[in-house]
Amino acid sequence: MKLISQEFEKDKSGKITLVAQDKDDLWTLYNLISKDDEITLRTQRNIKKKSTNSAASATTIRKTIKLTLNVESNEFLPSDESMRIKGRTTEQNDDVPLGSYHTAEIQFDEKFTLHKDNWDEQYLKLVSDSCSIEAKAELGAVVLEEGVAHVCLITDSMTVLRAKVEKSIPRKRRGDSSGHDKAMDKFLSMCVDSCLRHLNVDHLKAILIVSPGFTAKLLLDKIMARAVTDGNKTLLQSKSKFVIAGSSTGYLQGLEEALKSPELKKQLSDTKFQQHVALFDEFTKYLNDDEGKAWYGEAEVEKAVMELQGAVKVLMITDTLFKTDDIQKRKHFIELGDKVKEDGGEVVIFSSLHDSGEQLNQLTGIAVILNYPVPNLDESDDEDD
Amino acid sequence: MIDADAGKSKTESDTQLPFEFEVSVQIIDRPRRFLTFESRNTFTNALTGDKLTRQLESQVSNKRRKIYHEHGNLLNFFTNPSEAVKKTIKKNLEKSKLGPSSDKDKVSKLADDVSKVKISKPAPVKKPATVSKPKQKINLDLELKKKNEKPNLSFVVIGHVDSGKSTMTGRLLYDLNIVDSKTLHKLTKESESIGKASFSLAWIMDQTSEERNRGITVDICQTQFETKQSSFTIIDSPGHKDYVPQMINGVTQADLAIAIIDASSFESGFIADGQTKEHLTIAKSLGIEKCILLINKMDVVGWSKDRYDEIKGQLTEFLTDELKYVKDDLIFLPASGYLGDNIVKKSKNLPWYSGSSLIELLESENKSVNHKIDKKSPFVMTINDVMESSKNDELTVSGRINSGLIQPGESISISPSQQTALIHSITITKSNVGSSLVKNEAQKLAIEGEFVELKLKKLDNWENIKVGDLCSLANNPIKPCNKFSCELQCFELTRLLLIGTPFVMFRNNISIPARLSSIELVNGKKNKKKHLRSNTVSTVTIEILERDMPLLTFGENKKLGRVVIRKDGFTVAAGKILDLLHE
Repeated sequence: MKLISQEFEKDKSGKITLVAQDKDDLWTLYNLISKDDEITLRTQRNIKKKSTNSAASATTIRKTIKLTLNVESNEFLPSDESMRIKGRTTEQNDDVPLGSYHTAEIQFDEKFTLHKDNWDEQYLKLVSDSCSIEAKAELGAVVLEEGVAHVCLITDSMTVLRAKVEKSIPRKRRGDSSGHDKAMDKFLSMCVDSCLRHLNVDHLKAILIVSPGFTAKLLLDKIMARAVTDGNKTLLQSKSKFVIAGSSTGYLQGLEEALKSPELKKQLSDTKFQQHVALFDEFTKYLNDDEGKAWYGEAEVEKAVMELQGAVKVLMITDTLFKTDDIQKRKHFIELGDKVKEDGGEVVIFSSLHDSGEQLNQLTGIAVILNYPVPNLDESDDEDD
Repeated sequence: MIDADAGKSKTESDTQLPFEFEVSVQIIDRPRRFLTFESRNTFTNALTGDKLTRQLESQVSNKRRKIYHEHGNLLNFFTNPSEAVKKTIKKNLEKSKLGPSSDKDKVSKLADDVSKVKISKPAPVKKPATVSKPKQKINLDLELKKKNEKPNLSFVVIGHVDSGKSTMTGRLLYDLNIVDSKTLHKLTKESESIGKASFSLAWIMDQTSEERNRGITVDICQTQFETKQSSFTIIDSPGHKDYVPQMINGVTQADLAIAIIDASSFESGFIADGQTKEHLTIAKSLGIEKCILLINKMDVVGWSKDRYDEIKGQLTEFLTDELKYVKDDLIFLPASGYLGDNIVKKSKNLPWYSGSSLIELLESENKSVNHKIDKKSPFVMTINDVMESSKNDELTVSGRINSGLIQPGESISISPSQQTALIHSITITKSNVGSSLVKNEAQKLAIEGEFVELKLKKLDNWENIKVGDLCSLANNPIKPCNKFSCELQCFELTRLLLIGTPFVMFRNNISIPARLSSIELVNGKKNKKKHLRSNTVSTVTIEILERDMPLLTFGENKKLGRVVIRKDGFTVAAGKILDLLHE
């Protein structure tokens, strides 16, 4: 995202002018824009032109106009890579009366201005993070097993499934396995087609191919063979970008499993996505060891943060919790985060568009890893029973 | 005008049940409503052509359904108008300016036509399942008796990677002369040429180039053969850690497991994440109660009795203590698959072993198994393989019949795609001992436990049929669902099983991503936590991701009602389906 200008008042209200550049930015904006914000942007609207004489036909034309909306809701569709904002106009316009409803879509490379009554730290962090010039790492990944393959794109804040390839493969039979071999060959060709169509090798930092057994290797061979026959030089030169990893399954969860493996951990340690997977894994490991070093749930986390100074090593929280209309609640989570940081801990915000974030969401969305074991953090809860 | 009538007639028809809907639809009775959704023009045009009449009829019924949903009770008036109301409406109609007067006859004709349209219930859009009779009338008891003369026993060969499963299976087939020496000679030459001479027997089962180059089995391979007294299905499974899913598929189709234990490197398969342990755990969890433990590669350890006893001791302890096997259901056997000792021929190298050879054991097991068929149990079959077809409405599928019986000519329903198909023929592929010929026998009847190939006709689209689909009789379709409650036994875990964390669930020969959506009871107590610990028994709700699946409860079918859960390459839990939660 590009920051064009910002203006804040003493009471933390103010406005920021931004330009969205990629789909990650859209997700950031989804989390940034909340109810009752005001957004000024150029958008398209169907406008009825009343012709002067005849009442019969009012012609409708599509016009690009600048509107200021008071936001009522917004929605994000990862599959479409679009973010829509619904709201009511707050300024009179020649074409649009005051208070009319409008749904606008955020366009790439178009500037817009967002006004908030209260720019809290979390919002400002979102903006500054997404505007940092550090190159964003985008990964491609293919998770497959015989008969099913998933082609996905992984950015800092989301995993997008771009295509799923499915083909039923007949089993081998004693004395004849030609049906199996033929179908397998066809399946791999389909996977190659899908990869080339959906993954822009040039732009990606790396492409992971994950499968049980040797299927991943077979696919890579097939991709390279295709590069040779097509004379695709860029693909041939990017051979080093492909990374093969093992998993126990060809379903999407195989991706996370592969990312936990020590080899990939090293190779991808600088990506946010991998860090989150590793962190969540560490959390579940502590949880399993049952030493009281890992806790989840709002009450438990609050107790750990507020009552035990300096105990929290990492506070994990999903962006879903911040995306609430309840300002008090949002404020509360920000305070928790501040307290942790003050006491020397770390705060990590999980994106719910990644699998790790979705899993954390299912576990109440908030969790902590402690520096030292604190058993019975949930004791007061048990008494409630 | 009409509204007033409506109010009146409503009181008259109040006594009716809201679902009494099987009555004639008379379009004339309510012209106003029609003209609101059909423009007057199309309506009158429709009256001038028979083809269009039919179109209109279908529109009428479609709209009719919709209206019924939206205005439930109101419709009673329209569906069952009293004589008085009919009269008034007719009068009104005559007054109304609907269409040119010359079309009046047509209007009434159309009314008659439309009145023939019957709408039974608003819901079923799908065409009703046709139940067809078997092609041939057979004496069921006689055929069943014939089948039971040579009952079929299915067994799966499991064990750690490189313990010699495929080699043992190849040896068994070769020594029974099902594979002739010419074939083996050819395989020996081929395997020698790439420096893997000892793999020649295994290559009987390992067909694909991938399997041969890597020297491991990747997928299960199933073969049927008949001896003088009985019929067997042998399923060779892969031992490599990455291919446990395929091995699970093999286990679900077996009555008995033969676990191959490598006497020379027993320990490597028996450590925490070795496949000897995992395979046996899976077998037990999927309802295999009886197990032959074949201590293989005795030639490598110098036919040592001490080694045999040591392994036997450790295994017995593990199987009876941890997996709760009954001691009498475990049969130990020292053998050498590569050399053929104690497979078909009794070994001369093992004077201290007085028991039977493998084939003798299998024969006696087959006899002791209860093959009684319950004629009334419903027909269910899992599709295990789909042969590609050139015609769109025809397909050959194979699988094992889970329960009941089936005859050619009967029609079946396939879930989850909910298609119906007609069984054109049923065949069983078999080899006879002493001959390398593979026979393909047509059957008049197929029963529970048999591995059959069904040739299906009159399908909607064969491409929707996938491995793992369930077949049942057309009048007894299985409704797919995506949530069920389950009694879950967790094994030793390295990570907790958390609500929301996806895992792979195995049911029979199908694997699918799923997750826990809630935990109700843990070790019999009410639960507030969102995770499961090692070695707990719990009642949980499992949600299947991505799609719906045809499910049966454990009460309905002992094999299909079981699930195994794996995560990150480890078998973490096994369970029984208690109840299906349709939405």
